[in-house]
Amino acid sequence: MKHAGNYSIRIFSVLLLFTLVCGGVFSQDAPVRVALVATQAAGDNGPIDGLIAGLEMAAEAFGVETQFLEALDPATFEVTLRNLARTGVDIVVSTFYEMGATSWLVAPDYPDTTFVVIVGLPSGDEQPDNVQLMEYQFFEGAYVGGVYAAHLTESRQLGYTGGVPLPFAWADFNAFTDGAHSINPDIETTATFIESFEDPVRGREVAAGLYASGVDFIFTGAAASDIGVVEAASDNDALVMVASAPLVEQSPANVAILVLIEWEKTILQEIEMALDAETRGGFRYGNVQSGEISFHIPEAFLEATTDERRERAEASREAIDALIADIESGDFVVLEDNQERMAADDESDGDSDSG
Amino acid sequence: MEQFVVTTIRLSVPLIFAGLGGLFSVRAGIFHIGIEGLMLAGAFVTVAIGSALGSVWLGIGGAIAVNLLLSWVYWFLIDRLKADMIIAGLGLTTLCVGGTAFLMSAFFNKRGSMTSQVRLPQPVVGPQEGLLAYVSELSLLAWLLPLFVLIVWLLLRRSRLGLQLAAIGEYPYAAEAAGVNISRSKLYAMLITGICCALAGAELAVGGLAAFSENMTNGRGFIALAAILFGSLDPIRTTLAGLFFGLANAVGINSQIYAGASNVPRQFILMLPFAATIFFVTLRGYASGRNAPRVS
Repeated sequence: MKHAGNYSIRIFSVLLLFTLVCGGVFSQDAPVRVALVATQAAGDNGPIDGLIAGLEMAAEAFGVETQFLEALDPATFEVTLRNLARTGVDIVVSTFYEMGATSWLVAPDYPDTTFVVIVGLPSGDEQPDNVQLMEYQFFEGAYVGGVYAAHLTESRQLGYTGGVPLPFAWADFNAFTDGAHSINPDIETTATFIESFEDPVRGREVAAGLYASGVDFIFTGAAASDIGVVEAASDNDALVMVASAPLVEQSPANVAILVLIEWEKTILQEIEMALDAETRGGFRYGNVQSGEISFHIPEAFLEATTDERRERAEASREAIDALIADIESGDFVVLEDNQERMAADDESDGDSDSG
Repeated sequence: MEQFVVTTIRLSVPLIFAGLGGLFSVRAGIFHIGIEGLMLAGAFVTVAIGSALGSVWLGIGGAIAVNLLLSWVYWFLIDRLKADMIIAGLGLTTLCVGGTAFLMSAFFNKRGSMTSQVRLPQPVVGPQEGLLAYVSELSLLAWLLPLFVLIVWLLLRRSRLGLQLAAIGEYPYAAEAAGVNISRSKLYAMLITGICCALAGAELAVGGLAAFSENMTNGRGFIALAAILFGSLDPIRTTLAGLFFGLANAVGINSQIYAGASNVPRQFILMLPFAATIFFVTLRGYASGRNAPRVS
């Protein structure tokens, strides 16, 4: 009986040791798990596709295990974040302002999980340590785009097609206007909204209306609706500035400039920050200075467009490069104005100044 | 002005095709919620098959074939399996939303949107002024629409099928007593709805655009249903209702362009088409002495 007891203790000890060793080995080998929760459908040729690409890059760069899922219904936001945290996901990256408050709410219950919101704002006084937020200053790119558009326009009428009239859209439009006015104060700009980020049919009609009114250059920022805007540019032999690289292929002769948010770079940087206890959490801006907003005059455009437009585009390069250098160095500051300007405000616009 | 007219027509054409198609089902007593899904399926298959085979007409043919199949399934569910028409219709729409996204990913390795290699011919392109400018850049389907409306009117008002459908919708027991095969007539109605929705989807995807994007119908199928009710189940009035909704949309777009710089708040401008729609629908309801047509 005594021997049986000793054997039992020995077997139990061996099993316990085996379990601990294996557990230790497995826990050391288990990669960090990162999940991306998108609140817009993938395949937008824009943010979500960029973030997915960045997530794949993060898997290679940091050896993390990744997964992607969509949470399109706001009613599912909280349960999605909680489920991911409960199942042991270490870093939950979610998208846009609507996820900011949810992450803020959920984070205190799961201190071991970092909740990253790409394009989110603080939702209260005290930010939980495991909430990490960032927001873009895309209006800087819009300002540069306005300067470029002013060089290319012949009708001196520029247009803007946004998704819905949110503050960031007004900031983009106002900066675009200010950039154009910095070259020629007589240029007229018109803002329109497609009222959807996923309606290319209506996007085409809005853009066609703008072109018919005399506009010859449109800055569009309406995600999947942009397909229709580019189609209208093609039909009207007009110009368009987009924020999505695949749109260049759709109509190379008409997409005159790409102002890109480097979503891949952002998610890589956010995951890297979240992996390091020193840099985890907090709030930051992504902008021209951080290299997360970039400008490209597509080679395909220079090849496909008319000689006159090519010359104008080439001639503007120097001014554009100098402006970007000034923004990067901090010598020039583009001011944010995210309110709709009424007719009476027109005379007082052009707030951006060298700092 | 020319652009305003063209925009109105372009935005109306898919609504009218879907509305006229849905009219057959609604007159047969089927409130066909699946129109939205059938339009989406039509748009996707037109782009997918059209691009793969290099012919927009083969694409539209494929879309019609797929919609005939889906319509038959819908008929089987509600007629043979006695499923609730609203729930089955929602299911059909949901199936099409998810199915088109899945098939686009599976067969074309695209997510969200894909461009089309084919496009419907546009008989008049280029004129910016003069009479031709009012019909510039309209697809061939838009040009054929008046003829289509006439055919639908003849079918519904002057054909045996049309009269049978009206009888089934109003008094199904009387129709049955008169020897009408209700089940078969409903099947024909739904098949015609499927064909029209395929054309509506094709117009959306390859009429003005040359692309398909997920959920690109964006509720237009439901607006087409509203046009049917607004038009009192009559083909001419349904066409006019479709034009009205297109007009309201065009007003919304153009008021932004031409009134955007004024001191009128943007939200008010964006609200105008919806407010006008509610106003006129209500007005029409009062004028006709009833709020909605009877659908049994």
